[in-house]
Amino acid sequence: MIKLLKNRQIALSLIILGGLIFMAIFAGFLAPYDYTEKNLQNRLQPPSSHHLFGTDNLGRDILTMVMYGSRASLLVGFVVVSISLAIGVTLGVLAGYYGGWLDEIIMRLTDSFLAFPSMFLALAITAFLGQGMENMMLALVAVEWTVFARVARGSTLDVKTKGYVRASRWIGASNAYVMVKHVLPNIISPVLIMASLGIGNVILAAAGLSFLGLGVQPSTPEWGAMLNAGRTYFTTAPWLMLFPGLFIMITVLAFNYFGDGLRDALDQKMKNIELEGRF
Amino acid sequence: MLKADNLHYVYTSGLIKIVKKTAVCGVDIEFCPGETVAIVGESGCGKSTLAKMLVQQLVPVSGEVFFNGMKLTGMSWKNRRKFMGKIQLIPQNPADVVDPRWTVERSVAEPFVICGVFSKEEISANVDALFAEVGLSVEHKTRYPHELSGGELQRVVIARALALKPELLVCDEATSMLDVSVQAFIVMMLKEIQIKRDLSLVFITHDLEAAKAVSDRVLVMYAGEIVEEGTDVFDRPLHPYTRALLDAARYMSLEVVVPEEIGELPDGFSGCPYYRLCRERTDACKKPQKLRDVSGRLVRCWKSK
Amino acid sequence: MSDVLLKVSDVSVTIPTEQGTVHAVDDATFSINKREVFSLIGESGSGKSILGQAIMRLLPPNAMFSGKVELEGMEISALSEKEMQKVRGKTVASIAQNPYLAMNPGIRVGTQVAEPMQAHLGISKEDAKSRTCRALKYFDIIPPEVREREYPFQYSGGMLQRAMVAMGTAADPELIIADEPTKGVDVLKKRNIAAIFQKVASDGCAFLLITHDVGFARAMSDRIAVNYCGQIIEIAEKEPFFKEPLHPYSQALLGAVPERGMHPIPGPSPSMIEVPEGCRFHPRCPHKTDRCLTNPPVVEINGRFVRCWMYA
Repeated sequence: MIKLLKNRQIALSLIILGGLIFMAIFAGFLAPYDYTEKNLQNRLQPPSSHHLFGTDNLGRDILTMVMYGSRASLLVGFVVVSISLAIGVTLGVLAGYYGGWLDEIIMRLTDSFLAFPSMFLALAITAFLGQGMENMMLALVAVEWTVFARVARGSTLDVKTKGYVRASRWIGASNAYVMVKHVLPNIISPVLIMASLGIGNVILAAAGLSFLGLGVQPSTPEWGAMLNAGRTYFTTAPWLMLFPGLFIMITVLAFNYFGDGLRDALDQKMKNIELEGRF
Repeated sequence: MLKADNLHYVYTSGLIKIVKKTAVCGVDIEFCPGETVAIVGESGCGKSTLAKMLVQQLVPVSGEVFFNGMKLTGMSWKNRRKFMGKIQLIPQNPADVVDPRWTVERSVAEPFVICGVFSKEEISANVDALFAEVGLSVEHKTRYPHELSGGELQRVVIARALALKPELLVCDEATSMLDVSVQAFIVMMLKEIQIKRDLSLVFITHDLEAAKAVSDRVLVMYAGEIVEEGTDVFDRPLHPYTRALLDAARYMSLEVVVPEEIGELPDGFSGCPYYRLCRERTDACKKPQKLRDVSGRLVRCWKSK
Repeated sequence: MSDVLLKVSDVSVTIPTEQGTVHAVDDATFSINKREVFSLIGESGSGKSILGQAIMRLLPPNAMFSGKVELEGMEISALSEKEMQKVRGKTVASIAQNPYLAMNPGIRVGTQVAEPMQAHLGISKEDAKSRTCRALKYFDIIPPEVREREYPFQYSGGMLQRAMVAMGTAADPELIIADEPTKGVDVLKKRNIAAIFQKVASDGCAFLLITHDVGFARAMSDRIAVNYCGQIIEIAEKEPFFKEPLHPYSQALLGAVPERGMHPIPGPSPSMIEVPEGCRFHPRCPHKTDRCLTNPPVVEINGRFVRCWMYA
């Protein structure tokens, strides 16, 4: 674990992510204003010492809204990815481990989900279920779980043929035991990499859906919704879109950067194990 | 103790054009308690497939395996479970059978955990005893497989195999990847454990000298069949193939053998599988050969007297 | 002097790693004569492969090299990488362990065999082709005109092994370095490799066989060097060596082979990072005395070299 932190990519992205998470949790203490506080006299103020990021069309402080907005984005990211991971890994491991008709069914299911453009699918689901944060998350889970199912299945197929899996079956271990004790720990690193990349994707997609007005209630601050609200004032007050957009970018970049770093580090670790195994 | 009757195995591969390759063809073997048997042959002669069928890791296409009179083939997994620890396989590559993410201690403890009848203290005491038995020190316990040398890892695998008090250990080329001194150590250790625990050992190897040094009885396999079996096979080889193997092992008559030139046996050929390569072949070899008893030796060649 | 083909003097190689510095080769000195088969035997991890790589100048980039390697009187350890490329494959060739990994699966075998000729002999494509066919035929890859145009996957394992030797010998090298040619190979294939090598050796090519297979070394070589923990501890002609090994490690190693009763060598293999003080074998040696804690001298006895205090 400490070795992972030695990787510069991981360390840098962890610092940024740590900052973002800290900001989201302590938004109530850190934010200079209340996000519901409207001040129509101060509307569309450019960034200044009073309002670092400026104010919006209702006179709300953008910095405050960005801070509170990170709550929604990160929450959506973590929740969606956790649920998708649980569903996807379970189905993927089952499909890969048992093979046969179970594999066929699960994989054809993921294929049919993947056959739609993901944004379109999410759009269709939210449109069908109605607007709202929960429905948006549901839609994103429906898109996201296939990624984990595929990765988990692929890795399981590989791990399944390994001698230690067969060896533990031959001393009488049950299938469930083997899946939990041997298969899961050995497929977890590619899954974790996909998860950290996935959070970035989900945040982006959530912002996109909110931008289209299908995400959170307009009253709650959210980066995508802020972008949407700022759209009309783009030419006169660009900071309305600039700052939420910038934070979406930083967050997604940090998660992707973290995922890439994790992949490099874990690959390197696996390579070392293989190399040392040769002597 | 372990008895196999008329084992056959056929590998099937290919999706469109199905290719069938017979790996083991009508093998009968019997092992007695406390005995050491060596099975020798070139790579691809079916000796590993045979080993896997003996330890129930492969289901034979036809034929039966009996353990102490119990028929193992065709038994359900649940019923077979209690016999699983009794016949154990030591593979060629020990790194293959230990989980790379587990400490070796956990790997050795796994059989006890799966068995489910031991308490934590019993398991830890048993594991300590096993580590001592294979000559590994306490400091090895918390290491990961990649931190151990090949010889040490092989000892971990042996310790694990010994956990459920096996009666038969099948070593499939277990020492052929190791250096001579380590090989000697492992083989001597296995022999000691054999005496202490009254085990039967099966060494599957292509190293004829090692086979000769350790075994009471030798079986020579060629093309999925046993071609010769006896206690003094290497002192007095009767089958032409055994003689060719021995010559090769002693680097005698060094000339390049080009199997491609000799070609495959024609389809449907039912005679001696060694026919094409045999220097002593005659037309009579085109007839199927049976294992014959020649003064206490089983030989699959009509010529041997 | 004119007989000496390869002269290795005081070669040391250290490789820094995360765990510490690996003393892979320490003070290696030996020479190989023309037309001689010289075996370097030792256990895996004793640094013998690194020594082979050091001679070919194919060490890992972080390895530290010191010493001198002379090939036909030319100091190849001082050559630039560009000049070394002219030597590699021409005067000294190496034969890899695994033919499946050594041959490029996407290139015709004939093209691969012809490659060293075209690179080093400066001959035309047609010439190279006919020479390739001759080489393939020489190693019983028939019919060469057809086989030459095939890809590695169409070859059987034994054929590929022979094609690889054909590739190594294509530019008529003076010396072939073969690293573990018999690792993981069964008796019949081992015999075949021995037969091919002997065929090449009888044409006047010298060999440096790096192997842990004592039987193979015995069948093939004229002289034997024993490597232990990065050091060459004994060099001797084959016959006297197998009759009466001098160094205690050589004795223990020969005692461990199945023909001589499989007596294991007591004690664990030494670490290559924290090498034992003095004689590197002393912690496992049955004849150790106090002087073994200081570096033993290399003693010459009847043309044999042994690094042990017992003979000083």
